[in-house]
Amino acid sequence: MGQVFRLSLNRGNNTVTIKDEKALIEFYLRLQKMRYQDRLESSLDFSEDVLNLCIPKLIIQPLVENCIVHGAEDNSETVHILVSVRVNNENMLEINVTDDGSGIPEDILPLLPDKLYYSETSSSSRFALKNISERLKLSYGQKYSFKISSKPGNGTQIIIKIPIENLNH
Amino acid sequence: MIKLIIADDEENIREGLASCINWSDNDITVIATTADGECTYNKIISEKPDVVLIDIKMPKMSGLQVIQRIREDHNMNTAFVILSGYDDFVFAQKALKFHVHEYILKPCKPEDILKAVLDCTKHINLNKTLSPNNSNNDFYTFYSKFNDSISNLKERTIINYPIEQERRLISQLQLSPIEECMVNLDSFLEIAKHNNALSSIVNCCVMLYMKIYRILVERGVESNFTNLATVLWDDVNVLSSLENSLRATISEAYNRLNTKRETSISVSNAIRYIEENYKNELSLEIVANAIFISPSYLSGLFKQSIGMTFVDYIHTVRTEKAKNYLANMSLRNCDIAENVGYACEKYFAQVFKKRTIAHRFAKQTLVLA
Repeated sequence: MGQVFRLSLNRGNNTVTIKDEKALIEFYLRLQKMRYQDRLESSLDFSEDVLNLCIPKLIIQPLVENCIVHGAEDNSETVHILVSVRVNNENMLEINVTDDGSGIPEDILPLLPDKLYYSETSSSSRFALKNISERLKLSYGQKYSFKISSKPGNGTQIIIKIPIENLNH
Repeated sequence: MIKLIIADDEENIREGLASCINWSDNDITVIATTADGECTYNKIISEKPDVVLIDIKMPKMSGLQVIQRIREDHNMNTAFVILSGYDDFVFAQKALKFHVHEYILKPCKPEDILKAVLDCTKHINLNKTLSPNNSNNDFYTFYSKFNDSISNLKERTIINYPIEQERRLISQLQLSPIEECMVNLDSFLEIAKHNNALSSIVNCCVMLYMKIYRILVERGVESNFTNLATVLWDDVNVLSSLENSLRATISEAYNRLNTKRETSISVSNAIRYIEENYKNELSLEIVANAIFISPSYLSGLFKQSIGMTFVDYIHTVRTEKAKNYLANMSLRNCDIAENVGYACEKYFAQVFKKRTIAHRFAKQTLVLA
């Protein structure tokens, strides 16, 4: 709430290297695997050349958390999470988080990430996507892209792209 | 000690600035004075000053070109204060792009120059004290201390994670009195303690901590939060101290989330609407209608929860957007004006100047001694 305004005042030191974000995700997955054991499988694929680039804090980890919330928590089958971060051939940083969990309901999907309005239930994990998109917008204006594809029952794929020239080392 | 370079092609101004202002009493040393752009550039590279007081119009290379080259080719934190006779929108625009600290218009008073330089030094001192600590205490290294406890854990399972309590606590942090949060924290810990190994309990607490930290990042109130946590979470292998750490963490998070929190969902919906429609015509009536409340109620809410009027807020948002566009120099000012919702370029320039130059770039009128 009001965070758009507040975040824009606080902009600056809110970035982290991709290497650090990756280490955080690894730590987080280890913790979660203690809970879900073999019901959670993950694979991280970060290319060498992205590790020293800086992105806003907690852009990727919440996506992984969402996979778990909507995968392992909601059903009893094993959920597979794939995180890949690389520079694509359009010279964009491409962050891809894919899972085979329960997917996003069809009525919510068209509202994501930007069109949800805050409500009393704003702690819901759907708002994590909206918040990530907002924070990317504050850092990169219109220059990033945020694509969500999902099919109920088949999982979700989220792809974020940011032009390399907008990222600091 | 702050190192200052003064760059101006007029000798009497250059020497006047160096001698008329009492730099040394303010812990500032003038390490060089330069008369042209090229010389200034070389001095900045060789002497690495903290602050440069710089004129725009200089021989060989303009002040702006010097700043541009330093910003683009060198990773230096040099602060620049521009001292210029030009009240020119394009110059101010460039200065903004190159993160100039202040833009002071000549003629001006010596104390205003001193004030601008002192203001730079505040930032410099802050950065100097913060940066080493920050890197040690940041969240991204903080959690790693738990890595060891996980590796040593024989029983690599968390049998009971209080997921319901976690969810409730996160929403309570943003909506309920602190007492309710604490009651819920007790039940979180209660269930976490059903795990047999202490390290499993620790891990439940760390997961909750991560979740809370994430909410703070999302709300933009996370700075230095981890410094506190590092102190608090020092002795987590004793159950009672772990509980206290978590309690203190939650209380701090609660304060951060609530001191700046708006009282109303309506305000955040209004902000959202403005964010999405700043390119179009906006008025109190239009926004109030869109979010189904009365214009006068919305006006009151804005003042109360954001501390600025509705109209001011809209100008602020549009000015912020305009700054983004300004970074892209190929756009014409009239295009920018249109892109951020001003039909009239002249009005846009007026609003923009008032909000940026008047606030960030001090505008002065009296004659420099």
